[in-house]
Amino acid sequence: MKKWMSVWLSILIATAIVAGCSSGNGGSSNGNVSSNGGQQGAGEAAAENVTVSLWILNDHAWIDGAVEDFKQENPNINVEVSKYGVDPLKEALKVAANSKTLPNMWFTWGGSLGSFYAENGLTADLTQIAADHNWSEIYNQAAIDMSTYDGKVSGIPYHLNAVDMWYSKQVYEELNLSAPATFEEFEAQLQTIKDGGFIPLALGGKNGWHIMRLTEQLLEHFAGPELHDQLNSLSASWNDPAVVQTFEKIKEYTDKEYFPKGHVALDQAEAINTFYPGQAALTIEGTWLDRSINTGGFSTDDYNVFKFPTERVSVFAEMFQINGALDQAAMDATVKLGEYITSLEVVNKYIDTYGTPATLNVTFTDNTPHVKPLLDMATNGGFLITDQALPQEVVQKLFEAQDKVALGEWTPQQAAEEMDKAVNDYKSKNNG
Amino acid sequence: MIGMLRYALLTILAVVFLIPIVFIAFTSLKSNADLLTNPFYALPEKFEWGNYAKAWEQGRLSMYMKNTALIAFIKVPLGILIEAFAAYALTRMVFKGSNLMFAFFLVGMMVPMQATLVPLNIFLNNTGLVNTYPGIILVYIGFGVPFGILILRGFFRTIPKEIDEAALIDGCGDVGKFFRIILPLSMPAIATLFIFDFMATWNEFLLAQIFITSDSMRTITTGLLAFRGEHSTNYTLLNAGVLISVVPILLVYLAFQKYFVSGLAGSVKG
Repeated sequence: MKKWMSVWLSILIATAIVAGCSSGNGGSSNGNVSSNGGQQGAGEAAAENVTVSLWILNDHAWIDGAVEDFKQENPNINVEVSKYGVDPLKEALKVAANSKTLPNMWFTWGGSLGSFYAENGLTADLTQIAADHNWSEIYNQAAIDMSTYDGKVSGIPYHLNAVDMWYSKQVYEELNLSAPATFEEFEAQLQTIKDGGFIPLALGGKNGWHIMRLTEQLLEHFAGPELHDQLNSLSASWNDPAVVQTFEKIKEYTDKEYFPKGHVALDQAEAINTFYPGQAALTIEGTWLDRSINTGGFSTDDYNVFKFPTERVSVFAEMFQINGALDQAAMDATVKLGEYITSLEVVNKYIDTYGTPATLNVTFTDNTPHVKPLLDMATNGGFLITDQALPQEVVQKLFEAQDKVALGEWTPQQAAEEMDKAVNDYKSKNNG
Repeated sequence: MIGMLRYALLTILAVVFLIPIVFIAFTSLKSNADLLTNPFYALPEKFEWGNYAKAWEQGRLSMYMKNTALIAFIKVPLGILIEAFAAYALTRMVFKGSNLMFAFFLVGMMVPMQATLVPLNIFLNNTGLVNTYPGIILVYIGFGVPFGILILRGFFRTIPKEIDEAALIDGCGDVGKFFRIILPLSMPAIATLFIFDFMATWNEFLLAQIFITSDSMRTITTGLLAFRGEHSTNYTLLNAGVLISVVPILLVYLAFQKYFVSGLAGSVKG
């Protein structure tokens, strides 16, 4: 036993030494806000060694190639990329923000998700850089606007996503349907699809935001663009007939079984699986669905998109925000990296996996045939997607209202009143 | 008759527990198109054994498993050693306030991990330990100490004091008693703790995702997330990866299972 103990302890000590030695770049990638070297003017990052830390989502795989290219062109700038899943990234950023250890640059969504960092003074004000570097000629203006908070450009535009109706050509052909031109026609089609033995709407309610894509289109229809914008900016009461009508439709569609069975608890990842093979006719998804269809082994030729019978498309931006606490050299290097990975050259090189770029004049390939039609729809008018337009507390109340209306726990009128109360609570809390 | 009933019930229970694993196995052996067009409980149309190789390669599971094994094989023995020292002091070295100190250790079990993220992040950043193996091991040991002490203290108390006295008469000091008497007699409890601790460390996700930012140092649970993207999930490879990732836990359990029940019994007797 004594011998066994000695061996055990020896192995332990040896491995501890190995672990200590193999921690490599420890401590450098979380909260790295400095550079090596002395004072440096703007745009002069090339003269000294700088390390830029970047946090991004793990399925944005193109970043590896782009960063390698960037490092070859800029041998004095080292880039450390950390990849996260969606929720882990949100969690890691919140923890880092609270402990002042944010990386140099991070991916984030626009609206109220990205505004947290800007409003708390954690991001760099890029307004002057945007003007000096002619961003309005490089990026879609809508994406720049959605990266701007309180008049300050707070992120380098990365993606501009448009979300609208997708349909299965196979189901539509079988039922002799074509893209609806009016709301009444759309509703009539839902019933025809249901009667034909298909699921009309492949939407899962588990996380709230997928049903929300229908809710916001219904709200756009009933409220009209002006009131919809006022509701989203909290300048109009949510206890409004348009809101009640919207919730009434959610209840009606639930009762008529237009959603997959048990949709309130269904993950969208499962709901969408009824759409790919043609068990469901419609879904509301974004410009990324072409890539998902390809990944799933299906053909993008079997699907098409149409505009929900309202004027505007739901849009949202994604961006790279930059740590406001960087020294000048680190800031220059970080901006240089951010502008490089969103440049036309990089976007065109990785377009099939890049997502829907905010960069202008991009050349799309045949692998993503529906991206351009969706973006064209957005060019004619867009409204910011609801979970980015509303404060997160109010968004959570909307998700709750959707669920409770569908389950019959709240009437549509109650749901509108609860939304109004949540908005007023938020406003009084933030004004007080 | 009662024996048969018992076996029937156990068989039903075993089936209930195995069903999810069977579905995971089915999913891991399907093509994406097969998974999306057929019910999840259906047998694969064609067995895609290549999914395992793909998951291993594309998911870089060898790297993530190596990283996790490195952390687990340092953290678990080191943690158990520290916990055993503490449990030994609490049960064998009579001092005032030992019960209070034991209660103090147990308070650690009541602190939610989420509440500690920000202070731990500040601490690890200020000490240069963020994104290092020593840093994450230190945090893991801290969170493991209360449970380890609970188990080992309970077991140590079942070892008769007379054995200590006999060892003392033979000239054995405290350190000698710990290494020559208490530890060897406590192998069942240590083996039980090893299984629990190894499982907890291998499966830990929250702390690893926050405190390990470098992809080359990530653990298996955070590495598997690479199959889940912003808008889609590769379920076939994810499930293949999940099945591969549980193999080490199974091996550790099989290696230590003969001690398992007797080790656990000690902790509740105390």
